[in-house]
Amino acid sequence: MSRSFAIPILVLALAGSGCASIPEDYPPLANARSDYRAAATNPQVVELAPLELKKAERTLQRAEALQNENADADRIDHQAYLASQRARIAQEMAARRAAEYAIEQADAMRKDILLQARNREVQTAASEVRAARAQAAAAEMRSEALEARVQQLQGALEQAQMPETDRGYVLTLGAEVLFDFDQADLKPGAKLLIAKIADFLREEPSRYIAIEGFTDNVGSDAYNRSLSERRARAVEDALVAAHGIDPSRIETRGYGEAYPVATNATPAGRQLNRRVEIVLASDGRPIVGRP
Amino acid sequence: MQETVTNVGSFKPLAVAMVALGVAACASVPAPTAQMAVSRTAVEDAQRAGATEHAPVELRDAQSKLSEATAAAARHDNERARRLAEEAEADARLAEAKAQTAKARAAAAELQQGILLLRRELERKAN
Repeated sequence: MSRSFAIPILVLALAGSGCASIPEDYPPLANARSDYRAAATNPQVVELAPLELKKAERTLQRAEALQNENADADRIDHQAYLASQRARIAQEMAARRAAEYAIEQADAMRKDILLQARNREVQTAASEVRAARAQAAAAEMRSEALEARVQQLQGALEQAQMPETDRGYVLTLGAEVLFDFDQADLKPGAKLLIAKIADFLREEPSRYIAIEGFTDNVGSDAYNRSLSERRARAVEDALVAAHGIDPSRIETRGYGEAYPVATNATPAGRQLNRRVEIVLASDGRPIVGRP
Repeated sequence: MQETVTNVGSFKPLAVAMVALGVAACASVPAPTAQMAVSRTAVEDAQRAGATEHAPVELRDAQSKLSEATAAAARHDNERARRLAEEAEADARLAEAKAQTAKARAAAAELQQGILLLRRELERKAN
């Protein structure tokens, strides 16, 4: 063993001195051994408190050497006690270092969480900005499209021919300018057109008007009459409700597919037939019905 | 030369001295002045580390052994004084380590709790 050669000399020197021999399972030593074993078999202690564990081990070896030497119980007790305490110190140091490691990890984790949260916030903000930009761009496109549509309608109105017939002036509006397919609700773009007509009616307060709806010959006659009637009434409603035109000045009629202005045999002809005519009677004169 | 005897490596010279002097060890052992100073410092370190709160039993052991050691040294019972001082030092170091472990554990638990709250807070904000 690593014990020095002094041991046999000591044993010889102390032999017969009357010291009772200490048993192998002498309680203080057994306690020290079990305390040391508890520390030495704890992986955390082996890893985190190796120096403290080594110190406990050396102290235990010293206590065992004293036992082998049949040293005084006082001295063995003392070393055994120190060995126990040092084994406990090793356990505590390991626990402390583990806790300190946990602190470091928690701190790092906290920073990581905060960083991630900040990144998320930045990303959210960035995507909000992107969405807002896209929205603005879309709105701009919409308003450009709307503007173009308004100009188109305005152009249509200005260029619309208002031939004077024996019933008065007749303004013909393509049904697709005012309504969606098979619908009798005015399209948003048609409002401007209605406003123009209202302006004119306000400037000419003594003119009566007739609003007449027409369709092509697709579909049943009854349905077409009903649709054209509802469409004419939608125009009237807009003039009355939105522009305050006196309803007693307005007559509405739905003629369906009657009075075509073009052939129903071609798509272009049918498009011309789908229309609303606004008849402006001569000043102060009532509306003359269709012959 | 035996002035340098401390708890570490004291075995051989001491044993030799005992062999040389037979049973009358007490008289020949010098006063453990250095060990007493080391033990006193260890007790103070433990107190500073918060052992009064976190390891009261070990700290009390260390203090009473230190005062017993002082009394033994006063009676020139130097061997006993040295052993008590060594044990007082070990008790004090254990008390200090326990206090530091307790504090580190509390700090770790607090941080982990903080992380938990932080996570919950962020989740709440995210939803």
